Amino acid sequence: MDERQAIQRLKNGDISGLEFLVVRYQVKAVRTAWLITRDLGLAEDVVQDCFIHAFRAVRGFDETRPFEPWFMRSVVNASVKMMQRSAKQVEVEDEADEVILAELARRVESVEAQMESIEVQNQIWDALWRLSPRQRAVVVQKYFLEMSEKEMAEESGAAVGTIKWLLNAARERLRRLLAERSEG
Amino acid sequence: MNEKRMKDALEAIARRGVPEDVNLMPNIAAGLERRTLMTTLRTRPVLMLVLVLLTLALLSGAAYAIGRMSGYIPGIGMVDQSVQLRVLAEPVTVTREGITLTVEQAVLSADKTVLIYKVEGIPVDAYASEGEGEGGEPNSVSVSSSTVIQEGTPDVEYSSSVSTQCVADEHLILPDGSIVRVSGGGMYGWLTGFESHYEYDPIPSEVNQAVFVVACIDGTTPGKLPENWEIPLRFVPAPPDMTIFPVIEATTTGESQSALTIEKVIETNDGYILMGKFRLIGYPSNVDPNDVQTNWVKITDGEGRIVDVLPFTEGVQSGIKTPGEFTWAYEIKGKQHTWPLTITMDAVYVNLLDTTAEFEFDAGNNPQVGQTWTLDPNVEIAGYEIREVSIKRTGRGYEFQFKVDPNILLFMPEIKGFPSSSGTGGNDGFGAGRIYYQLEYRNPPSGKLTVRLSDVSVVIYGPWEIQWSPEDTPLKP
Repeated sequence: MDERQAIQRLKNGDISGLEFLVVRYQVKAVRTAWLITRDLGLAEDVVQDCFIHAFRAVRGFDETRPFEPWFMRSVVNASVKMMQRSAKQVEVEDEADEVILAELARRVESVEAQMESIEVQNQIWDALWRLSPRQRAVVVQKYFLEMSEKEMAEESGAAVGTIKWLLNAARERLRRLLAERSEG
Repeated sequence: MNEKRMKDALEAIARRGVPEDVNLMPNIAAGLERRTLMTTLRTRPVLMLVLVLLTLALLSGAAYAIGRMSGYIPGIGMVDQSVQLRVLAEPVTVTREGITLTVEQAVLSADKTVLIYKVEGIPVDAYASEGEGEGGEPNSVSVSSSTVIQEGTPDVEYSSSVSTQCVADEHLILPDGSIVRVSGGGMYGWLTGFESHYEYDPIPSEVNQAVFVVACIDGTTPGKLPENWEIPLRFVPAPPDMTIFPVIEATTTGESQSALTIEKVIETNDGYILMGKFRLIGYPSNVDPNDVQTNWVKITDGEGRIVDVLPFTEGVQSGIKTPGEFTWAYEIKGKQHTWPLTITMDAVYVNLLDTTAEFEFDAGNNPQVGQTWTLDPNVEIAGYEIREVSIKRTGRGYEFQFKVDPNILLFMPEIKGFPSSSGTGGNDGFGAGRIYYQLEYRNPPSGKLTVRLSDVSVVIYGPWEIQWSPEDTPLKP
């Protein structure tokens, strides 16, 4: 069975189609959700719900298109919503965001020779956690899922410009901070 | 920024946090099954269920009793059937400016009202983003009275009322003007919508209509979407063929000396749901059992074979936790087993109440952002060793990283005399022996500081066992 056949089976209510997709994408999906929620239990719950929703919503899905971006978008969005509702996120004001993002940018720059260092990974991980859920989701989509802006905007139901703004906000702020530092 | 290096870092971090052997399919299949049961509401007639119930009661030699006419409705949870159950007369859908709100289901029982509604068609740009709205000063942070522990990487929950998002404030208005508010429940969402399963206080049996009010679409930016939704609802007696599984309460006499007890049994179409309690026997009163991790529980049949089970959560864990015990529930797949089943818990999480430890560190009079102190605090908490503490000055406070005895799940640090304005923390999963915490302050303290650790959660080991079979009476520990 390939992905297209699996989606066709899923559309017919055949759970074996879902099983194929779960096996193929569950690890990446849980890792994506975990990078945003930092809670394995929550991440698994999010992904389970997304698969269940996919089972119900797949009728409207065009099986000629890849399943992964469509599904991962729902995982990212559900993770952000979960965090926004869970009250686990410390609210950070703009001023704090600058400090945190500057720190993240510095970490990213400084890791060129030592990216394998667990300590550096921990530092990035901690800096990432201090971003807001939405900013964290943007970083995860861009760098972990390697989604293009076009992919991020597709099938969103919103204006491309709005989506681009949403998905690039953290990256642009990072760039600005880096530029200011180099000018200084 | 080097995108490849960032990707490599995130992949390495994710590999450390989420193992390759994730297997979600059993829970997904169970979720689909429950949803199917919930939406079709078709199986045995109530009369047949009553007969089954009576038969089971007779077979068990009166070891069971029907407690308060409790029933279990898949997708809804436990309901008190001591008065006629009522349901939504029909689903109600309202569409405004492309947003569709559907009240899909309601169940009204003597003890609660359950209402399920779905919102679809939310534009992504309507969700509130950071910095939008009126903002405001962060409230002082308070830790919830019972630490929420989840498998994997548990975090301490903080409350904060900072909100730049719409809060739906769903409620029901009865004909006499009285308001019925949410008492519990949850929701899940997807890209353009969400479904809410909330419980409300019970509605008097003589009231057969209400107006469901939703102030705005939860999580969106105020003013972007239609607000003040008012949806009239009508309730009718539940149909006789509605699927309601009886909840059979196990009656016990005297004070149980067993850590594990079975208190309720539900026979479903394809198995059993067992619900019980865990109490620690012979431990000091400040050792408060809190939870069990799924992989510490196993259920075996009479020949020692592992039985296929799923954690059962529908409505079981709601309510206030009783000190000294926690509730557990598992769904056993299938009815053809070699009885009796043996339920074993190898370990449990416990909270150590009124347990604290302190150590000092000197941040100096002018600590700099990024400055780090690594200490050997030479302290124990309830006999568990705190091996190393790394403290870093951040822009708004201090970040703590503790290396601890791996049996410590979590604790909370505070700097004595300096209440933090916000904070967050967690661990790297049970057994990792690493706890991290960030505390933020309006004016971060400096100088000689005393760090106090409290709200300690640790793991203690059993095993504890109980046996059960459908005909078993009385239940044997």
